Amino acid sequence: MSGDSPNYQWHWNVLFSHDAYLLLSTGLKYTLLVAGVSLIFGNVLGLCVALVRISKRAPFSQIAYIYTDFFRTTPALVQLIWIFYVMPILLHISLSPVVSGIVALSLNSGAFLAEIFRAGIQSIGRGQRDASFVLGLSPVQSFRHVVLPQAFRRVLPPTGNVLISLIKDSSLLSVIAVSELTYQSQIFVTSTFRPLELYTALAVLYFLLTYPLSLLTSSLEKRFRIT
Amino acid sequence: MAIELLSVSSAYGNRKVLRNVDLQVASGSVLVLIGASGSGKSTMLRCIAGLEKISDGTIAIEGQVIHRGGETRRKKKNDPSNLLRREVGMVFQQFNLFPHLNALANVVLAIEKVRKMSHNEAKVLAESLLLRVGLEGHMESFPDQLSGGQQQRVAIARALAMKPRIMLFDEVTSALDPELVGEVLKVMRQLAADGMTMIIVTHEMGFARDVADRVIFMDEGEIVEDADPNIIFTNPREERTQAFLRRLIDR
Repeated sequence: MSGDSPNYQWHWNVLFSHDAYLLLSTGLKYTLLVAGVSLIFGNVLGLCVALVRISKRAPFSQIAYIYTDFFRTTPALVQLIWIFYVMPILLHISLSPVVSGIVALSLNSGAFLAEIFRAGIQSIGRGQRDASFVLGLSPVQSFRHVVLPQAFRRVLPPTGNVLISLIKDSSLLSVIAVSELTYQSQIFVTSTFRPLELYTALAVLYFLLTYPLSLLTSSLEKRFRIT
Repeated sequence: MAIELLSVSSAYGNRKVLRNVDLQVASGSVLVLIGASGSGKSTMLRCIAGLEKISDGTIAIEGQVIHRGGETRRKKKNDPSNLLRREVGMVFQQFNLFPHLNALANVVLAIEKVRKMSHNEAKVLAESLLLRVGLEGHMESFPDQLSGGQQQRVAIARALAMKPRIMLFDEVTSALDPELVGEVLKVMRQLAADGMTMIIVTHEMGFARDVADRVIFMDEGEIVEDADPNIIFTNPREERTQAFLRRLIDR
């Protein structure tokens, strides 16, 4: 219905009430918790899976490939819903919403990170490995001192992007009632009837969370001399 | 006998890159390999260094066999071939310096991790090697801050840090701008004068004539001609050698 906006009265003061503070601080806490923990698990999982895929050992390498392919090509939301609603029935366990959310986001980001790490490691050219070999470095020494430091610098930018995605994807957990920022905002809207102010503030909040990260990633790239 | 190749063959799938090569290189001598691309010269160096497997024959260093045809690359840590591998140093056309380490750190890495020297001892040795190749002022520079000639000299210092008895040079000046070639050849000349056993693959014919004790022309994986540099460049015996040298001069 056109013509609604000119008559809308913005009441920004709803954001600065004590209730708002309580709801949003809880939301922030859960958002950061979920994104942070998923990032840690995702990184560990991603690195392990990448190494397995590089090793080419059957059947582990194929299993790793199926995992990364599946979790990168299906929507995170669908993965989340499946883990929360379907998996407990199949495995006869029950997971709290927060745990389900962390599991889903970890598996999801882990798959993207596995590809990023695998590509980063394999992009270190044969010449580097040749040089390490003729100098007498063992494969482990070569990986630790030559390949890994270079791969680390190469994967920093895309990994920064995965972290930013995790913060954004944490909003998906609102559909399984995890008290992160989006869910808290939705609740607050139902009690204040101020969707425009609240959702605008929500968007700004996510921006404030992710923008410093992208700045940090850029400064890290410069510090590590990524050409 | 520093290096001995006996009936060495190497294949990439169906393609035979080295065919039944027999070669002996005496200690302290400088051998230059010439030939067209694909003739097998780089492959031969890489097989001696252990970067590529040979399908047949044996490669021996100082009388001890280190590579046998048909072996897989993974060997135990204390296998004699791994220990003898350190006697062979190699310098590559693309330098292959470690870009995340400065010049000094590039040289120190293997001294510390493979020769197991303390960090300080390693630094002292690395500094003296960088001095020897003429890079005193550039020890803290990173590879991307150095010219091609400087990078290649760091690569030579890095290889020398392992105290090899044999040095392999795979077209080490081919990727350099012409004015930078001289500084690298100068280091190589000095090495030869100091008595290092060297096998050099190069297109620098003038350099080859000066420095080589022996020149070998390879074609299609075989040694076609093996002669004194003064003879091979002026009066090659084989037709294929003559054709190759003629093509080179006609450029």
